[in-house]
Amino acid sequence: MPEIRLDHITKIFDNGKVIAVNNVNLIIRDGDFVFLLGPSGCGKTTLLRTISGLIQPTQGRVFINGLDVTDSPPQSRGIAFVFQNFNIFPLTVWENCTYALNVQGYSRDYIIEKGERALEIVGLLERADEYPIGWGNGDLQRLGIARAICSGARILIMDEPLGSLDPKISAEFRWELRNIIKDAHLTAIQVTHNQEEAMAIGDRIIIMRDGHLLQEDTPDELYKYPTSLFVGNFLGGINILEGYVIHIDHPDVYHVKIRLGGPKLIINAPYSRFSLDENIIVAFRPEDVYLFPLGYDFENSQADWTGIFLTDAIIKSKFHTGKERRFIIEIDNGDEIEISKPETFKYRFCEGDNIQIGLFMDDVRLFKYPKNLQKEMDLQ
Amino acid sequence: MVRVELRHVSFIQNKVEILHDINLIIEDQEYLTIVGPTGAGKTSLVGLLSGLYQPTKGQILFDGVDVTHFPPYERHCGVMFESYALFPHLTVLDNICYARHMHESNHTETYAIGEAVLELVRLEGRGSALPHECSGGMQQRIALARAIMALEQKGLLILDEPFKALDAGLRMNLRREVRKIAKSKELQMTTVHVTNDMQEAMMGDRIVVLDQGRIRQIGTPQEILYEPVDLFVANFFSTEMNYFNGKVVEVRMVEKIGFKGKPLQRVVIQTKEGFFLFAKTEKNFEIGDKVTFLIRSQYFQARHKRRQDKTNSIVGKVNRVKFMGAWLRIEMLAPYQLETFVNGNKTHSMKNHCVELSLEPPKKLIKIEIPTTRVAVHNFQVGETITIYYPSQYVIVFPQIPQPELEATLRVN
Amino acid sequence: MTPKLYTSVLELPDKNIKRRSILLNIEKELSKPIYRIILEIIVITFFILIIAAPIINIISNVIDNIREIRSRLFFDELLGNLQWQIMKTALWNSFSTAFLAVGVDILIGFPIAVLLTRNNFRGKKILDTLVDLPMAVPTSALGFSVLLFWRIFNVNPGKILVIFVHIAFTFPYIVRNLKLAIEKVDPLLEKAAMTLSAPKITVFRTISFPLIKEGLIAGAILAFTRSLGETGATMICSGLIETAPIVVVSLRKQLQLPSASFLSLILIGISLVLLIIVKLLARRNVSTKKFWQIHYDIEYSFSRKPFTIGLKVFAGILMIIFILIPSFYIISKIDINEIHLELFAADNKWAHLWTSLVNSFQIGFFVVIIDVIFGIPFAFILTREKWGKMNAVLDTILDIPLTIPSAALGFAVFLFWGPAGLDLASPGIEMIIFVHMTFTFPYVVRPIAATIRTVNIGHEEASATLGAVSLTTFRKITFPAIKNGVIAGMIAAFTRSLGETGATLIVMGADRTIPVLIVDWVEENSFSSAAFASVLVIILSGILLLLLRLFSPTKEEGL
Repeated sequence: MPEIRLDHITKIFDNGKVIAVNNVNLIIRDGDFVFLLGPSGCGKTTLLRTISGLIQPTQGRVFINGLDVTDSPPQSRGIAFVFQNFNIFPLTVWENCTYALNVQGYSRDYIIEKGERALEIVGLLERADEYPIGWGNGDLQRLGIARAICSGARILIMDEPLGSLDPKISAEFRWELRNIIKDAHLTAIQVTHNQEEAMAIGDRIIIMRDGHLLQEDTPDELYKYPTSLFVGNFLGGINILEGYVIHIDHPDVYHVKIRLGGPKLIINAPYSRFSLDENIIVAFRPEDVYLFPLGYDFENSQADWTGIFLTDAIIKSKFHTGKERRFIIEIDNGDEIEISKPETFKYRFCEGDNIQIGLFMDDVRLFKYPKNLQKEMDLQ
Repeated sequence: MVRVELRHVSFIQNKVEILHDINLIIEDQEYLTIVGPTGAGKTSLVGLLSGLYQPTKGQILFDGVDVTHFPPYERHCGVMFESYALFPHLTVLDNICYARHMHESNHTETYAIGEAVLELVRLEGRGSALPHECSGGMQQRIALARAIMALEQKGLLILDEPFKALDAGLRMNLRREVRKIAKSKELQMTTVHVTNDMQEAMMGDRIVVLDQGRIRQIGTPQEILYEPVDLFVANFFSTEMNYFNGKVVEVRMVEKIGFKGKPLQRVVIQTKEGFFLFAKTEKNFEIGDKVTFLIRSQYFQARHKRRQDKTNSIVGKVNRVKFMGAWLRIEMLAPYQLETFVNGNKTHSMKNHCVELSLEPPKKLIKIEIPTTRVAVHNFQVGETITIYYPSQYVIVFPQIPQPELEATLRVN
Repeated sequence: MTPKLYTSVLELPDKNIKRRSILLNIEKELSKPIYRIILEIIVITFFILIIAAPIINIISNVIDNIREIRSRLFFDELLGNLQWQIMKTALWNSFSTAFLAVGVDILIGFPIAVLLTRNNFRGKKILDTLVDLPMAVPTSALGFSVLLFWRIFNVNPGKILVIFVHIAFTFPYIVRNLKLAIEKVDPLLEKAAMTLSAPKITVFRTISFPLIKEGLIAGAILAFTRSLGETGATMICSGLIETAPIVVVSLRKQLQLPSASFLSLILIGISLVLLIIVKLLARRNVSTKKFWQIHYDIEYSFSRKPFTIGLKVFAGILMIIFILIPSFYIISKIDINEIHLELFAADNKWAHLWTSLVNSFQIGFFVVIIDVIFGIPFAFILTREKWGKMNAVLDTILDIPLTIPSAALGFAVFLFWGPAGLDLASPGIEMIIFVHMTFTFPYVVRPIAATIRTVNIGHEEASATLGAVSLTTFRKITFPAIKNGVIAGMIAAFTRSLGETGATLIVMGADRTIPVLIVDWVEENSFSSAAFASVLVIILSGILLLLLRLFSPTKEEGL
C-alpha cells in the first residue's frame, strides 16, 4: 500500500542559513487526501519536493510503502507531481499524457489503452491531437492530472494546483479534483494557500510554520481544537481576548477575568494546564458568537440557550461577504470582536446599535499567552 | 474627492473590442468595486481611468471636466497595481513621496507628509528600506501609501486587484484595513477597487459587475445579492447554487416593499420534481408562468423534525456531509414527490408506475451549507432523513431559463 | 465513470509489455553520474586550455623576455625609444577613437533603442534588422564601404575616417545591449510613475535610466574594447595613422615577438580592467541621490509628443547618414565591366577570391562544430551547476575573449599554440581555427546559456517524476527547447569568424581568408575587385543575419 512516512526530515539551504524544513515526522496513510498549509516560506513546497525526490533532505529518511527511498531519484519513486504552473510540455495533449509510458518503454498498444483512459477520466479525449497552447488554466490542470495518473503512479503530489484559477472556477473545480482522486484510489498531497479549499475537500490537514510541523489532523478536529493560537487563527480566523486566571475549580475549570475591566468567564479546559494569575488568551470563532437584541425573550425561543454567557456590546460596523454577514462589535472594555452570521440572519442591526452577545463556554478555547502575540496572530 | 463619469466609453485594442459602451458614474467619496472574471476588461478600465490608455470612443469626466485626452500625469490618480510596481532602486519613503516631489518644491515638507502616510499604513520606521527587503504584505501597504500620496485630495484612488497574491486569511484583514483607510474622514477619497473575487467585491458601496467588456449590473451589495439581473450575476455571487424549474401555481401580494421599492409578490411554484416552493419577489408573475428558482446553498437551514408548513421545505436523505470550518456542507437527495407530479388523482400515477416496474423514484441532489455553530447543527449523519427550509425573501426567481444555459453557467455535473 | 475504470488505468503493468528500446537503455546507462563528471572535466579542461592558458602564457612570456623588451623598446642602439613612441601614439589613437566612437554611438543609439523597444510602428522589424546588420558584416568590407562613401565628401583616409568606421561597426553593440537593458525594465514601473504625476522625460530620468544604467555601461565597454581591437577596417581607412592592433600585426610580421607580446599584454590588461569594472558595476547599486533636483517644468514641456517624436526622428536621420548609408554604399559602386577586367586579369584574382572564400567557410565550419560540441555542456555547467563562486569565475573568464582586442588575443594564441609555445600548430588554417575558436566560443555559449535559463526547469522536473532518466529528458524536453539558441549561437559564431581580420593576420600562413583578401586588395588599389568581394560577403552575412533573427532566442543575452 502506498503509505508515505517521513522520519526526522530536515532540509537546510544556503549552507545553513535557511532551515526550510526542521525535523518533520509524518505518516500519510494510503488513500488519504492530505493538505499541506502554512504561510508563504513555511517550507511546505520544500517538503513536497523532498517527498518526490526533486531535492534531497539534509537529514532524515523518506519511506514509501516501508521502503527507504531517500536516495532514489524521482523517476523511481512512483510519485506523480502536478505543478503549480502545470509544466505542460510543448507537445500535443496525447504526447503529454503518455509521456511517462513512452520514456519507460512500454509497448504501443499498452500506451494507447492507458492514455485513452486517462484522458477520458479528465474529459480531454476529444482534444487529444491538439497542442495545449493558449488553453485556459482549468484545462491545463486537467491535462496535468491526466498525465500524472497515466504514469501509473499511486501517489499524487500537487503544488497549488488551483492557485492560478479564478476563485469562482477554482471553487467549482475542487470538487471535480476530489472526485477524480477518490475514484482513482490515489494517495494525494496538496499544497494550497486557500484554507477554505483544504477544509472543503481534504481528509486531513497539516499546518506548517517556519519549517516546523505544527499540527496534523482532520479538518474537523483541527478547526475545533487547534493546539496553538496560530493554527486557530490561520484556519478560519479567531477572536482573542487577553485575560488572566483568577480562580481554579477542580483541576480543569478556570475562572478567567478579561483585562481592562472585561467580563469574567468560567471555562472548562481539560486540554491544558494554567496556574493562578497566569496571563492567558481566550479565543473563539467568529461564528460561535450569538447576537441578540436587547430584551430578547430567551424563554420562548425555539433554540435551547441554557448555559449561554451574555454581555452587552455595541455594533461598530457591518459588511457583507456574499456568503455571510460580518459584524464588528465592541464590548465593555473596548475590545473588538468580529462576528459572522449567515446571510439569512434575522436581525438587521445597524451601526451604533446596542445589543447583547452570547457565547457558549464550550466554544471557547484557552491558550497560554505567547511570547510574541503579534507574531502569533500574523498570518504571513 | 472627485466625481467621475464615463460616457459611452468603448475601448478597442488590437482590433478586439475590450470594453463596449460603458456608462458609469462614480460619486464623490464613493467606494466602488468592479468585479468580473478574467478577461472581463477590468484592467483596461483601470488603464482608461488612470489615463494609461485612451478610449476609442466616449468621454471620461472628472468633476465635470473632460479628461479623456489628459495624459496620466495630469490626472492625479493614485493607482495601486496588482504587482505593486514599486520602484526597486528607490527607498520606501522615496517611493511614497515620488508623486509629491514632482510638483512640490518643499521636499522637507513632502518627506514629513510621507512619514505620516507611512504611519497611516503601519509602516513607521521602514522608510529607508528598499522594496525588495520588505515582505509581501508590507510591499502592498507601501503601494497603497504611494497611491494615497499621489492623490493630493483630488483624483481617484484605483486599486487594481490588490490582494490577488495573498493568502485567504490575510486578505480578509487587509481588505478591511484598506477600506477603513479609503473611507476615513480626513482623506475623503473616491475609490475604485477592481477584483475578481466576489467576497472582496462586497466591500463596495456599490458594485459594478463586468463581463466580456459589458456592464452586467450596477448596484449595492444587497441588490446584487438578492436581485441579480441575470443568471450570470446570480451565479458569480454565490459559492453553490441550487436551481428548480417549475410552474407558478399561486400569486399573492404582500404588504411589504422590496429592495428596489416595489411591492413584493409572493409566488408559489410547483417544481418539476413535485416540490412546492415559494418566494417573495418584486418581479411580476402570473399563474401558469414557467420560472426558475435559484437558492444559494447557504440560505438553507436544516432540521431533523418535519415542519408543519410544507411549502418552503423539502424532505430528503443526507448523502454526504463535509466539514468546512465555519460551514458544514451537506448534499441531500430528495425523492421526487411523485403523487403530486402527475397532477391530482389520475388513475395511473407515476408512483404506481415506479412501483410496478420496481424502480426507485428519481432524486434531486440539493447542496446546502449550514453554519457549524452549536445552535444550527444537530449532528447530521449520512442516511438520515432531514428537512431543509429557507427564508422566502432570499430566493431568486427568473422566467424559466433553458436547461443548457443553466447547466453551462452553473456547471452542474 | 465508475471506480473500476480508474483502477485499471493504474494497475501496475505486467513485465512482458515493458520493452525498453536500445536507445532508452543506452540513455539509462549514460545517465549515471560518473559520465556526467567525466564530461564536465573534459569540457572545463578544453575551456581553460583554449581561453585562459594563452593569456597566462603571454604574461609569462613578457616576464621572461622583459630584458629584451626593455632594450628593444627604450634603449635600441639605432632607434632609441622610437618603438615605444610609436606604441604610445598608436595606443593614444586607439583609445581616443574608441572613446569618441562609443560616445557618438550612445547619443544616437539611446533614442533608437527606446524606439525599438517601447514603440510599435510599421517597419519596426526592418529597422531592427538594419541596426544589427553592421555587426554581421566583416569589418574590412564595412570599412571599405565607409571609405568609398566618405570619399564623395573628400574625407581622406586618416583619423576622422577611422572614427567614422568605428562608429558604424560598434553601433549595433550599443543598441543591442541598450535594447536588452530596456526590455528588462518592467513597463509597468514606467506606467506607475506616469500615474504618479511624472511626465515622460522625468519617468525616463528617475525610473528607467537608473535601471538600465548598468546595461548601458556593459554595452559601452563591450563596444569600446571591440573598437580597441579592430584591425581590418582600420587598416583600410587609416592611411598613415597606426592604431595599437595594427602595430601588433606589423610587429608580428617583422617577427619582433617580444615587442608584440608586450603591446598585446598592455591591450589585454586594459581590457581586463574594464571587464572587472563592468562586473563590479553589475552589482546593483541604489541611487541615494535626490532624484527630483532637475527642473520639473522643463521636463514637463519636453515631454510633449512633438519633442519626444522629434528626438527619435533626429536620431534616426543621424543613424541613416552616419551608419547605414556608409555601411552599404559599396553596393552602388559595383561596376561589372571593371570587375571583369580586374578579376580575370593575369594575376587571376578570381582564383584567389574563390580559394579564400573556401578557406573562410572551412574555418568557420570547423570552428562552429567544435564550439557547439563543447559549448552546449559548458552552457549547462554555467547555468545549472551550483558551484558557487566557481560559476562566477567561469562566467567572467568566458567574457574575456569578448573584451580583449582580437589582434592581441590572436597573438596570445599564436604564442601559446604556435612554434614559440607548445608548437602544436603552425601558422596556417589550423591555427586560424584555434584563434577563431577562442574568440567565438562565448558567441556560441551565450545564446545557449540564455535559452537554457528560459527553459522551464519545471518541465524537466515533471519529466523526471514521470520516470524519464536525465538523458531521455534532455533528448525529449530540454534539447528541443534550446535548439533555437544553439542555432543562433552557431550563426553568430560563424559570422564573427567570417569577419575577423586582425587575429587572422597574426596567425595565418600562406592561405588567406576573405577579409584579409579585401584588405590586401584595397592596399594594392584593386578597388573594383575589393568592392566585389565586399558586396559578396555583405550579402552572405545578410543572409546569415536573417537566419539568426529567425532562430534568435526570445530573451537574448548581450554579446
